Amino acid sequence: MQKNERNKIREQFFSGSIRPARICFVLVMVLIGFFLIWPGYTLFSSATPLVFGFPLSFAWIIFCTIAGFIALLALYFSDRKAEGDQD
Amino acid sequence: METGTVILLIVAIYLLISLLTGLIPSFRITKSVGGFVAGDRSMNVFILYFVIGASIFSSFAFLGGPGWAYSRGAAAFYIIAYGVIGIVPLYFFGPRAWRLGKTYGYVTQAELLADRFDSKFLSVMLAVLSVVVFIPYLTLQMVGAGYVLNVISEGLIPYWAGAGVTYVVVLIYVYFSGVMGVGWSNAFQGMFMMVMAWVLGIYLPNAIYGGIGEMFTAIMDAGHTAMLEAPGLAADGTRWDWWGFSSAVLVSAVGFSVWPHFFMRSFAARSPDSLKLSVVLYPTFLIFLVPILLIGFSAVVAFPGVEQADSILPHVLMQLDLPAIVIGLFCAGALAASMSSGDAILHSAASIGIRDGVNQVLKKPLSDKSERLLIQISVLIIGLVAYLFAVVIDVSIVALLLGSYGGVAQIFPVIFAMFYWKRATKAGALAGLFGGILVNTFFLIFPDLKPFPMHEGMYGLAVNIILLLGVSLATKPDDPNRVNKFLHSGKSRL
Repeated sequence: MQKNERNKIREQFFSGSIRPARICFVLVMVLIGFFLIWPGYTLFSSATPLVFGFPLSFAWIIFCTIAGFIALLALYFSDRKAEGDQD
Repeated sequence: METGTVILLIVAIYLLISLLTGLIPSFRITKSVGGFVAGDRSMNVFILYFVIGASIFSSFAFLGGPGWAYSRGAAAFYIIAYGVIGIVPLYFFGPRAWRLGKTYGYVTQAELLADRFDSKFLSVMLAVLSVVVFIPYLTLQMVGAGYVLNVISEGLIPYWAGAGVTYVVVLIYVYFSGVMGVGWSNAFQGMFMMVMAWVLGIYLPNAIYGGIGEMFTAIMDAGHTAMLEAPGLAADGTRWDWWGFSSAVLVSAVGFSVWPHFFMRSFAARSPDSLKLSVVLYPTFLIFLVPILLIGFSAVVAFPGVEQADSILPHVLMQLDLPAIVIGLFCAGALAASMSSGDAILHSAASIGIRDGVNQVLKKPLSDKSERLLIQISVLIIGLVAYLFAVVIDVSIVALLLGSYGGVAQIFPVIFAMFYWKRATKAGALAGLFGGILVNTFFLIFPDLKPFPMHEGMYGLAVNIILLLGVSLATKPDDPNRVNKFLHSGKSRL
């Protein structure tokens, strides 16, 4: 599909353009979401090994929460930078 | 000093500080509806962070969380799992809602939707839905407060008195200070609750087992390895299925950002930036659930066979022979959890009920002054109704809340369409929203008819999205001026 045509479709359904940083962020969050439910989470669902004293299943959830936090922070700073560039 | 006196004294001091921190802002906000409902759009990151964090961590988290970990093991992880994805939409919706609110004076979620889809009916229905969900939710918070005080004081404080005194304090500061009272008291309650959760969550595994790793090893050695394997156990003690776990995470995540009392805090922010930063910092609040779950796990081997899992936390504390001051502080922590959600719900139920419900059906709109007074009076009435439910009926802390999540999640597709999809029409939005709610309620009442063992909210969402898309595309587009106002709210200047 041509780029123009794609933009047209995007215009028809959504408002304006979307910055690549935001697309990256959404992809990362979808990936985290995938690993928090079936089937992604099944890879880390066992009780052992203990990670820092926590069962793997518990440690994994904590890890995903921290990863989500880092992704949010990165988006926030990228947004600030983009807004700064606009001004 | 006697144990009972110490506990009472600590609880009294805690309530007094809550009351004062809640009352102080009443001198600073304007005497308008905007002041009461949206705090004159003046909340900074500090207050907003606690409002967003604390209003979702309720009696459910403080009592239900350990209860789930104790009886269902890894199933309880879902409470942490959905939060991190669920908060994300607010990062995008919040600043848009804020800009529209600043320019056009909106202070509630239903106002936005009613304007975008040109439907007073939608506003009234959302108001009815909100009040219907909020009253039992508030009742739950009161039950939690009364229950904890009663158990910990070993019957010294009757259940009705515990719930009553706690919520008189909440009523007073919500009545006078509106959302800023909620904000300031939540900051105090949130900090208090976090400290209590971490202290107990680290102390209990250490005191009983000698460490967190030792605790989990003891659970496995006692033959409970299955409960530590995701997705944990179902309510009847058999293994929970992935359908149930995954759909519970998804529905809760979808519904999270559109809870009306939660979403409307966007209007109270000082700037879009402070709102964004509060959302970004939210996962640090989520981590506070880790010690909460550790408390529940600490009781699995040491105190087996507690029938009512929700009461595991007070039960453990009573068995451990702790100093009175620690028990008193825990009591106050549990009250903080209850109050920091209860006040937000109470405030929102009254604001939404009057502004989006009553005001829309009146022939002549209310003046700002009478609307504010009416909202304040509703705070008292709704508080009283919830209290009557709390002392009269017996409810399980978790079940009701879980039931309402599927219904609230149905608001998400229309909110998304409002900001991002210009072809969404009034007919499509109404069909989607009500179709979704109907299907969700149907499967809630008849769970045996579900084709797959998924959360009923998932079926509701599927029907909701199909109707929203199908009916919108089949009907004439909405007025482009109105549509564009919402579509272009992502730009920094409207």
